[in-house]
Amino acid sequence: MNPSLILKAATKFLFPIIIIVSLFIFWRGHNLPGGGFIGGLIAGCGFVLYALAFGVTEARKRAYVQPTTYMGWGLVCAVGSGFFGWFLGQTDFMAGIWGEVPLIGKIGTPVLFDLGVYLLVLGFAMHLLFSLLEESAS
Amino acid sequence: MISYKLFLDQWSMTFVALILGIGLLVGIFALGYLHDNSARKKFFPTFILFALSMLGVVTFDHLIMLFIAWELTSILSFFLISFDPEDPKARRGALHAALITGAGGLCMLFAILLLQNITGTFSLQENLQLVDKIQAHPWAQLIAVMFFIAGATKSALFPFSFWLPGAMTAPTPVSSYLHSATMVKAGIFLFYRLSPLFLAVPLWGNLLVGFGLLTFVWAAIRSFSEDDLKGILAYTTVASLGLMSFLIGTQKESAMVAVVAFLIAHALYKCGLFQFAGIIDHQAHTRKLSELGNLSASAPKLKWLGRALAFVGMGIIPSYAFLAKEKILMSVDQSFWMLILLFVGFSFMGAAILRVCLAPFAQSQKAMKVEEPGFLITLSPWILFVISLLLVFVSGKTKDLWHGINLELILSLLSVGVAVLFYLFAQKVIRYLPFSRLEGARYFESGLKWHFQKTLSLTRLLQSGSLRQYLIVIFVAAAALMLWHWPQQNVMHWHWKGATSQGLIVALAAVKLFAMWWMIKSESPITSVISLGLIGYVVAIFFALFGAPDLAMTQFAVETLSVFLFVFVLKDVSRFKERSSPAHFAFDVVLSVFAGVLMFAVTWMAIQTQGESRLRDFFAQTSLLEANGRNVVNVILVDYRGFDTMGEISVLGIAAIGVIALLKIQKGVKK
Repeated sequence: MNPSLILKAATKFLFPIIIIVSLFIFWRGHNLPGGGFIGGLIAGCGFVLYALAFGVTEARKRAYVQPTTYMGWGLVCAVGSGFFGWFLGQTDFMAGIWGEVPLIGKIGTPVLFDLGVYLLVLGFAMHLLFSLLEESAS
Repeated sequence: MISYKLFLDQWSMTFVALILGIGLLVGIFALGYLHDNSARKKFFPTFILFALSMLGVVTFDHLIMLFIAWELTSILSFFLISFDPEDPKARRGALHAALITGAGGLCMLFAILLLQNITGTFSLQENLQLVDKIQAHPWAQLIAVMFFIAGATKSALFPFSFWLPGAMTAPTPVSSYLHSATMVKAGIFLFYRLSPLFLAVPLWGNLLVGFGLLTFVWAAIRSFSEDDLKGILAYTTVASLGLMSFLIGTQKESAMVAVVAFLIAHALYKCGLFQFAGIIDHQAHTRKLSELGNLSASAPKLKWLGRALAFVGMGIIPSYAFLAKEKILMSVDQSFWMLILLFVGFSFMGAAILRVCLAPFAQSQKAMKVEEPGFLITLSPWILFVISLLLVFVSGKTKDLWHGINLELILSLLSVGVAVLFYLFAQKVIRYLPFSRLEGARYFESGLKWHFQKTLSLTRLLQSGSLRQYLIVIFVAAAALMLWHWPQQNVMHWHWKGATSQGLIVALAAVKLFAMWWMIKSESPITSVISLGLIGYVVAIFFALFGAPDLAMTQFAVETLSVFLFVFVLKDVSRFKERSSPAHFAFDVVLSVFAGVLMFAVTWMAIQTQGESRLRDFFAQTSLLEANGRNVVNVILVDYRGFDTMGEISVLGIAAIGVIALLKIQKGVKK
């Protein structure tokens, strides 16, 4: 596959915007349409676009770590968010604990959980599509 | 609610001391044994996690937490045994250990749930106080058997013993911790802890005594004929576990005291012996007695370490093992036969220990030269020797050592003597030993193979590999179920809701129909895939129009990624080569239309019948106030039904592993 110059130029510009948009959609998920799943999928689309334009090796370098590492950290965040209530808040596992942080407002364990979902979906999309791209290239 | 409350008594604290103390010494030993930094990086975190979960097993009060810690020890031991994943023997050993102890863990979960059903509580402390209620219940025997199986698998009682010798493929630090001092003792811990529950259930005591004694005698005799140093120690460990189970099964006060003493003594000397075997392996690069010999010339200090460990291992006064053996013999001195069996077992175990400690240094034809081991690696076994020697005096039990010349002392001395005799005439004795080559692992392995063959043939029968056939089965089954439960009265009526104009809806529907026709008609796969994507986008627009923005966004993103996926898979296919025959095509059309209409009708009916749903009001009221979120869909996903989401993302993780596996198989096939 020989990606066109237009695609390359556009991707250089679009890729960071897509990632920022995905983070924005993740962050607003709790009060407005959005959330971890959608954010992760959009970021995955961004990485796939990058892989199409510049090749899988470049895209993997952009990701810094392996897709499966994203998935691992996603699971850690998601399951770890449950322990806050259990150990610190003296309530059940996975009960929501909320607190006020200056500048950001209210933040709590469901946000950490959603972050875990985001990372996991992103990792999965990257993993699946990078593997398939490498398969079809060889 | 699952709580992490701890239940500590003297029995737990003994284990805590062993886990932490011996853990420290094993850590020091591992520093000397593992030189490679990558090996250390792999070993220590897993090792510490294992120690933590073992602590959890002995201290948790909530039975479910105990079960979780129990399973964690099995999982972590799997990783530790398969430390070198390239070695097929290590993988096999780890798999056997994981399967056997995992099956036992399931039995334990079953028993815990039954117990909770009777007493209403998961707390160990409370259950121990409700003994009468438990023993009166008809389930008491089943619970006893299940707990017995859990402990027997973990503590390698007959017939579950074979995984322990198989686990000797683990590096020695692992063996000296898991398979001598901690993990295998978890079963003994369980037996002791639960004995008060089953005082009136004779089956419990009988199982423990029967299997324990059998394991003890058989493994002790078996250990003597082994060739591998660690194999000998593995079998003597199995024998010791059998002995402790037997003692707990007698349910006598004196036996329980003896168990505690032997637990400590055995942990100390067995850990030291394993480390000793590891040092020999490390220096001479072999563990087989048939290849070792004549080491005394080149490694005199190691020779003395061996003699020291043999001294405390065989239980010669004043070592702690001697105290333990005295207590054991005194607790069963009413029964003649038990004394004889214990005598036989002790003799063989002592002889096996002598073989491990002295045989590599004896005169033989092999001329081996080894380097004297370093300080760090020998520090830990020497410390264990010193502790074994001095513990009696330090713990204030000096007067327990000497009870005068009684039967127990004579038996003890005799068994040492017989052990020495067996050692000196080792080869002659081994020839007369039956079942010296029996390996349970081979039977288990062939059983597994048979099981896999059967499941493979079943899979071939049910899974044809044709996607079309799978879909036909799914659609027909779903349609049949829906028709079977079709409601009696007519609940469908036409009711238009929504603020969007009818024209827009009709236009979008027309686009969708066009895309469907294009997809079926086109010759090129890429065009089909793109029209499939177009259908998906139209569905997403419908979602957005009818007030489901989250769903719409997800649909857009998923559709995009799916189109990418399909394109990569199909891009090397230029044209569709085989199209379905007219008969197949007609059948597919009829079935698809029928299933689609049915699905539509069912969804329509579901929307029409409002039902008594309090959920909508509940979510509307609590979402902002209690869950701090205005977007109810997202709040349900991450907060109200967070556990479901956690399960789903775990499934994604497992699917990713599946993808890796499938692609690796593909690469293998291509080569």
